[in-house]
Formats: sequence, structure tokens, C-alpha cells
Amino acid sequence: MAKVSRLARLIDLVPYISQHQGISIENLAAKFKVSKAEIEKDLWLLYMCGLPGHTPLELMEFEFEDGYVTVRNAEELKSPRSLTQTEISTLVIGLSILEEQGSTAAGKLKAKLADKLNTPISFKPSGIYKFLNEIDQAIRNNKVLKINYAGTVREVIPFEVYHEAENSYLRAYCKRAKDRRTFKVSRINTLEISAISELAPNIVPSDSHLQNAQIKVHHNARRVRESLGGKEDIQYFSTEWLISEVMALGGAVELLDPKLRAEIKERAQTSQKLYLG
Amino acid sequence: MASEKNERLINLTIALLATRKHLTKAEIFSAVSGYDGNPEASDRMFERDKEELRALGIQLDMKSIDPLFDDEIGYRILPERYRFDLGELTTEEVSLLALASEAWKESALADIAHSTAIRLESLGINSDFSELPLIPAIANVPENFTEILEVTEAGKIIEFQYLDLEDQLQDRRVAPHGIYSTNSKWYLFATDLEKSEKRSFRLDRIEGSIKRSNKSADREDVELPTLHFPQIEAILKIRRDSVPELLMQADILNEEDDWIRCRISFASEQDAVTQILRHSPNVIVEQPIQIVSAVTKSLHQLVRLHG
Repeated sequence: MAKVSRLARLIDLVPYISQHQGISIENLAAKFKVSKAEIEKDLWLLYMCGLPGHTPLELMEFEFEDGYVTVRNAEELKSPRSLTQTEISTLVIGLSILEEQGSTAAGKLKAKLADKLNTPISFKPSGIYKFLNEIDQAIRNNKVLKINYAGTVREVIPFEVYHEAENSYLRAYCKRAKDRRTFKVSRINTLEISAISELAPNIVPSDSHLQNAQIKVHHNARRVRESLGGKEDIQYFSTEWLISEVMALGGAVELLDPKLRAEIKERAQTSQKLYLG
Repeated sequence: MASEKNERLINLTIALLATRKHLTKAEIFSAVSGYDGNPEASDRMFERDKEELRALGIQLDMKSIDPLFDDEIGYRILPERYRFDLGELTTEEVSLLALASEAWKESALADIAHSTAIRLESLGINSDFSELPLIPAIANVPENFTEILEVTEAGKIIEFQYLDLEDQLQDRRVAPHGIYSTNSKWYLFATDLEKSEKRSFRLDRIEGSIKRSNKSADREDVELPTLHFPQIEAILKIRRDSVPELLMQADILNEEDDWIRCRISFASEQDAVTQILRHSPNVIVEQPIQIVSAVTKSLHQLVRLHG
């Protein structure tokens, strides 16, 4: 985790207080995500700072004895300090997402900020993390989600999101299928949290426990690991997922379980026949 | 001790911001309290202080003071460079920037983004979120993201260990150009100095720490590859009602019994082969010939391994 130094906080406190004169120490501590005692120590330190000379005329004037903070005579530090390159990069990326969501104002702002970067950065929002906030919110509030999934609209009651290899999946009760279903998040085209709160009927899930499989890597070890999440023993939720990933790896990896092997062989042979025919 | 240092750094910042003329080191040491001890110790202290300020984005402006001699350097902080200044910002723009920093709140850069947000609120421009959309959180930022971003910005040649195709570590020496993300993967775009070629390195395939050299990399105006994906078109037959996510991106050519013939663009040949295999036998590729042969070769392998 990239930490922000105390020095940064000290410097940033001055303009923040200047714009929020009379703010309580509690609120200030909450805003800067540190304890009240920490903020008080910061204020005492700042109290001693100012222009060379350090007579009362030159020092910044802080008042905070009554629990509410004001500052005067802090001309030099009154404006917030400029953005660092890393900060500009984070904003450019955040604005890319907003642009993708249709905000032209965000697109213009992004271009303006990107001009200030020494090194270019670009971010193409992808399906993996999209909607995760909304789904999370719906799960916490037992809300029904209306999703357009690969072209069909379904109402689902979400249970959880899990990540397998490079993808996110939503496990939910599908009101259309009247059963539990797993949805690949990247295939959800649109998503809406409906106002309705509803609990799913209590039925036994069909394919929701973690299973183990052994694999043997033949080549492209990196790709195999990245897509199956391991190089010998792997864990997976859905057999369909495992079979299609192994098919997609096209001979770089071998499944060791006889039943799974038979399934792969069957699919590959059926496919071969289609090319001969 | 630590707070003495912070006090000195703040007083230094105030002094250098307030001055109209560049101050010599001697002037700084006498005006700003905390530079005690012998001149060499003060010198070293001052060098470290400059670095600390630079890390916060505060640049010292340096100027030779004596027109006859270069060695007397004066320092000041130019207020116009110190200030958070993106020109005139509207209420909407401030809100968009705040929202853009919100996207990071679940990531390794949460603290940095939070510091940005606090300074946005210190500009004295109101923000209004009522009209704005929710922003999805940026997830899956690799742990080395901040470090890579920093070394890229520093513009120095770097060395690291990289997992090759067979998952073996290889030494790489590169001149970094930029960072991009596509398909939720982050890449460093750089010139591989051994191969003298521009390459993309996936951040999660870089292992361990990054060694920075003192040698500067040539700053080049490079265009990041993300938006110019090589595209390859293929003609496929997809079994009716079977693979909606492929069909959604397809131009449909004609339909025959159970099959729909269509044209789809893929990011690369490899991507096409992967997707076709994943959905076999519900998908058959007809063209181009190199994809057909790669797919049938892979099917043959799959049968051989699992037979």
C-alpha cells in the first residue's frame, strides 16, 4: 500500500482548514483518517511554524483550544499543493472510466490532465470489475438485480461474486430459470438495481462447491498457470468452466481425472469430425 | 526528532514560497531553524529535504545567483508551480475529479487518491455529486503498480525478472515508456535493451523488486499500443443458440439449418484460436486458413493427450 507521509498531511491540513474555518477536530480527524490525538499533535506542530523570524507576527495563527479549528496568517500554504505525477495518473485513469460511461466532460478533463504527464498512461476499462460495486450493494440490501445477460433480460437475486482465474462470476437465483445460476460478470451488458427487496427460495444449489483437479502441464506453463490458477493441483467451481478452459489451452495442458479426460476427448473428437465433414 | 524534521521542512517550504529572490544555502540555513551543526551536515540535511519535498510534488527552482560564477546556486519555490492549478474548474469538473479519485478507494493507491481528494476540497470550489454516475471501483491493481509508475516517471533504465512463456524467470533490462491497461491487465510498455525492440510487459509477470539504474532512458514520444490492437477477421460457423457472447459481436452472413455463418474480429490470431477452441464443437472456423490449421492442430493435440 502506498502511504502518504505525515509531512503531506501537515501541509494539506493548512489549505483544508482555510477552506473549512471552524471545523471540529473530530471532523478533521475523520477527513484525514487519523485519530483526534494525531490531529492535535499536527496542529501543535503547525502552530510553531511560519516565516523566518518566528515572532508572533510571522507565525501561522491556529486556534483550536475549544475543539474547533481556525487558521489565519497562512498566506504561503493557503493553496493546496499541486498534483504529483502519480496523482495525475490516477485521475487520468479514473476519468477514463467516467468517459467510457458516457461523460464527455470527463473526456475533456482527461485530455487536459494527460498533457501534464511526463510518461503516457492509458486505461481501457474492461468488463471484469464493472458492476462489482452495484452487485455488492444489491447483495447487502437483498435487492433484485435486473441484468441484460448476453442478450436476454433476467431478474436475479444475487448471493455472491467470486473470482476464478481471470474472471469474476456472479452467483444468483435467476427468477426466469427458477434456479440458481452462475453469470460471468463480463458478459453482463447492463445492470440495474431494482427497488424490490427479495430473498431467494431456499433450494439446494446445483454446482456451487469447490472441487479439485490434477493437471499436467506440457508447454506454455505461464499461460496454463494464469488461466487455471495453478500448475499441478487446481481448484474450480464449475466443470463446464474447467472443460472449456482446457479446450481453450489447446493441448498445452492435460487433465488427469478419467471422467474429465473423456469429456475433453469427446468434445475434441466431435469438433475434429466437423472439420472433416 | 521526526517532528523536528517535519517542522523544518514546513518552515523551509514557507520560507522558499515567501521569498521574491532566490536564497543561497547560507541564507536558508540561517533563516530556517533546524539546520544545525557543521556546514556539511546541513548540506546533507538540505539534500534529503529537497528529495522529501520532491516526493510531494514540490519542486525547488534553482538559479545561479552570481552572474560570474555558476557555483553559487539560489533556491526558491515558485508559487505558481507550487499551487494546485488546473486552470479554471467548474463545479462539475471538480466533482468529476473527486469521483475519479473515488475509483481507487479499494486499491493499493487508496491513500494517494484520498490525499488528492482532500486537496480538491481545499480549492474552495463546491462539488455536486447529485447529477453524476456511480464509479465502479478499480480492482486488480497489481502490487507493483505504484513502483512501476514511479520508475517510469523517473525515466531511468530499469532491470527486473520476468516470467517467460514457460514460467521461468528471465532477466530483463528495459527503458520504460509508459503504462497501459487493457482487458483488466496492466502493462509496462518499454524498449527491451537486449532485443532492441519495443515490448509490453505484464505487471503481474514481473517478479520481485525493480532495480533502478542511474542511466537515463531516452524520452521518446511513444504511442501506447492499447488502442491499436492488431485485428484479425475470421469467418466462423456458430451453432444456433449456443454461444451468445460470440454471436453478439458478429456480423451475420447467412444461416443454414443449425448453423449461423458470421464474421468476427479478434484482437490477435492467438485470441481467435483460444476463443474458437473454448467453444468447440459449437463453433467451426472456415477462414483464414492459418487459424483453421492452428485450431485443427490443437484439437489433434487435445485428443492425443486425453486419448
